[in-house]
Parts: sequence; C-alpha cells; structure tokens
Amino acid sequence: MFNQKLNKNTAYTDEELVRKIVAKNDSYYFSVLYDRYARFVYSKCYTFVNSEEEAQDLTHDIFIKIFINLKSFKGDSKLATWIYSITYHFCISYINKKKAEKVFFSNEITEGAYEEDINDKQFERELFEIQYTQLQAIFLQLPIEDRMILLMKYQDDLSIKEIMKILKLNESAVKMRLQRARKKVLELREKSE
Amino acid sequence: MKNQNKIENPFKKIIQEIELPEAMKDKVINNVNLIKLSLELSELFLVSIPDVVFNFMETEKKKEADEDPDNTTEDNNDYNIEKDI
Repeated sequence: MFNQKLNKNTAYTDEELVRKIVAKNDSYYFSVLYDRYARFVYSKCYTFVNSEEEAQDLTHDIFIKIFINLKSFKGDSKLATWIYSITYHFCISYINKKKAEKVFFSNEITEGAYEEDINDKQFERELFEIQYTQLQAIFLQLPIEDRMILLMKYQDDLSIKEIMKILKLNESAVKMRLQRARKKVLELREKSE
Repeated sequence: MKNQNKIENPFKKIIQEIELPEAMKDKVINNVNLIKLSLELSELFLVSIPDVVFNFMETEKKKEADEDPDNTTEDNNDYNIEKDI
C-alpha cells in the first residue's frame, strides 16, 4: 500500500506536484518535492560556500523560500530552472552579505557588448583538454560568478536561454560572461604551467 | 574510433558528491508546517472570523427589521420577498 503511494508520488510531474502543494499548502507533497531537489540544491550551495555546515543552512532557508514562493511559479520555465534561479540568487545574496561588499555583477555593471569570437570554439576545445584535477585547482581561483556560469553551461548542460532565465540577463550578457570566464580559465592554466 | 576522438568533459568530473543529512528534511518540513499553521491562523483571524461576525450582524439586523412592523425600508422588503420565495 505504502509502495503504491510512493510510486504514485514519484509518477507526479513537477507541475502536478506544485499544484498539489499550492492548493492546500500541503507539506506532505512538499516533502516529495524536497526529496527530488534537496541534493541538487545542497550541491549547488556547497559549490558557492565550500562548507558543509553553511551549505546545509542555505539549503534549509532556500526550501523555506521555495515553499513560500511556490505560488508564484507559473510554469513558464522548468521547475528545476526556477529552483536553480532561487538557489543561485539566494547564495549570491548570502555571499554579498557575508563579505559586506558587492562581489556580484549586476546588470548595471558594464559588460561591453558580446562579439562573436571566432576563437570561442577553440577556447571550448582547449577547456575540455584540461585535466579535471587541474580544473579543480583553477576553479578555486576563479571568481564565484565565473565558476557558476561555467558549471551551468558545461556541468549542468543548461542552454543559453535557461542561463538567461536564471541570471536574469540578456543573451549577449550571458555569452559575454561565458566568453570571459573561459578566457580566465585558460589564462590561469597558462600561469600554472 | 569515434570514441577515441571524443573529448571528455572535465566539468562533469568535478561534481561534488556530498550527502545531505536526513535530519535536514525533518527540520525543513517542521518549519514548513509552522509556516502553514501561522498562515492558517492569520487567515482564521483576518478573514474567517470577521466574515462570521459580519454575517451574524447582518442577520441580526434583518431579524430586528423583520420584527419591527414600522420598518419598511427597501432592504427589509427585499428580505421579506426572499423569505416568501
């Protein structure tokens, strides 16, 4: 019987689950949603703060925020993208508060317009040639915004459109930041060699 | 041959495999229940109870008007018509 209920829960799509939670502020269905996304949120938080304790606190606060704001999820994007966006902005805000300085880029910071670089594909290939142990070391020296955009693109395989939604930026700004982050990784690799 | 040429993505290898403690779920769900309770209580005191009081007063007003034969306000007539129906 329990298994039947469990199977039924796993069969719900994200959208169905959200509808069920929102209809009655249902904490049981919210726990199903938690099971689906907890590890994902936790690992993203850990990437930001590099501390298990802080990542756990952030995960807790993010899920509370998700519960409170779930009504505002209209299904324009995938639930995973929406949760990623909340996680990203929550962590950035946490880091900014912690450092008491603005480390995060905003739309106001001049990026310069993105210009298609014929070397972009070449940079990408060079990026993939880096050993992952070396990449890990380089990552520790990268600013958090560069690290996150590279992970979105190359680890989570998010499309430019999805990254645009998460970062709330236009296409040109996203491509510009990716280009900049790739160049930084390659520069750091050269320095380390 | 194809596989040999395929470049592996090093980003996929730097995934942090860390376990989230089970107790975290209980903590989150307990707090969610607390938020739910406070939402329901505020709805009770700010929406439901004022609604009941308002309806009660309206009914009392209509009752009084019904018992007073001199009162021939439009509202009262409407109420009597509704009652007859």
